Amino acid sequence: MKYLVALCLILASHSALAHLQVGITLHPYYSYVANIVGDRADVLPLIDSGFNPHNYQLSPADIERLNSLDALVVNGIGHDLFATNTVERLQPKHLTVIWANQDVPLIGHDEKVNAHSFVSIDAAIRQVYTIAKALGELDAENKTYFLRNAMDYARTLRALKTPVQQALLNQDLSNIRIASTHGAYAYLLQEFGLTVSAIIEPAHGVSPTASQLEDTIQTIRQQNIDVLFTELNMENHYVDLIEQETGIKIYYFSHMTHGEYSADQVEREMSHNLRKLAEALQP
Amino acid sequence: MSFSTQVMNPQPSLTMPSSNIEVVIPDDGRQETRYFAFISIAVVVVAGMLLWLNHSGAQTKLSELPNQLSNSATQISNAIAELNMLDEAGLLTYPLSAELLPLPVIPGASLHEFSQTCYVIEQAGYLFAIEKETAWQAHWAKSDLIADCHANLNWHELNH
Repeated sequence: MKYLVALCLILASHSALAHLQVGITLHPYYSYVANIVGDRADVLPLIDSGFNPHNYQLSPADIERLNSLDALVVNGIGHDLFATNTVERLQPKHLTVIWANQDVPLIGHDEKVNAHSFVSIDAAIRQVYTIAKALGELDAENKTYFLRNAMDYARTLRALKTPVQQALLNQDLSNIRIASTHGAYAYLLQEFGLTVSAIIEPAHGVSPTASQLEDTIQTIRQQNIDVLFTELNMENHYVDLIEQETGIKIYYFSHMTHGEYSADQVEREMSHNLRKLAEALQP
Repeated sequence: MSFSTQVMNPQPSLTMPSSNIEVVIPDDGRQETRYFAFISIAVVVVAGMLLWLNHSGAQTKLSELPNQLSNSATQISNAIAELNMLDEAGLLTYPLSAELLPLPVIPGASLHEFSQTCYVIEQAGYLFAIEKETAWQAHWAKSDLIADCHANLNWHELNH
């Protein structure tokens, strides 16, 4: 009996060791990978939650974690430069980097790519499929399981869109003018045929100067902008001033890179965004 | 900078009779100042070029497809991934038809079925060809006329 228990323990520990160690750089990728791999791989955030990915520098402990991974899933188009720059410099021997956006038709302006493809449903699904395929190549035994989970997760994400699509079904959205505090929501809005007419912040999280704010207020008035989408979990005092001066309706979207890492974060926060979008576009 | 020294004829002096006046003249025959300036400029130019090359190499290219069509391209790309997964799992039932395939329904776009393995979606003067050769794949091209998957057009990858 003792031997049997020991054997079971050895087998269990071997099975745990055989699990792929998959690193992620940003919160949405935690949700994507967790939903793809289920309990058949370990999902490890490269950095703790609470850090601003725009200006983070990897610590020696992060680099040690990086070296222990089998795969690292990256946004790779500018939102996790703290990781991609380090990976390109160090080129860890046993690490497979999964470029989640490699198949996404990217949008942007002035040759600058918009890196927020994770604040979206369709671009998120495209990334989920790319990640699932790459993980399936690393772990052939679980390939079918990963791909099936990816399709199930895609179905769940698509279903989030349905109530909003129905709410907007008979509405003419062609005259809706939208402003956004930064460019994070362009992919999501585009899924509903909407484009952003004005972006307020000169860079993510950087408040506009007094003269930039004045220009923005003028733009909002001149272009008859109806709605301003701004970011939840970020202090934007100047938004209140814009509201006072222009009477514009303000709605808060999640950027999905705050809080604890969790498998259901994308679902939860995307539902919030879609609810707010439907609310904002009601006549 | 280096200078050569030359001892001039001693001049009589009341205060320091035994002292010599030494005049130091710059020896710019070797043009050190100019060389130094050239090298400094060259270093700055080379550093600038390397930074530019490094930056331009790392940049992700934007798609040539207009921004307003990129969501259609994304939905089609998702459909291609799903078709390949279903096909690999033997879950596509032949003969195929457009109704049986998980192709996206895009507002303002029209779907044209040319064969079991060639479908074209037209939207705003752009064609998206969805076809199966060894695997399912899709391309886009600009065209005012509806054409099939093998038409002689300038086809691009969906993400390019």
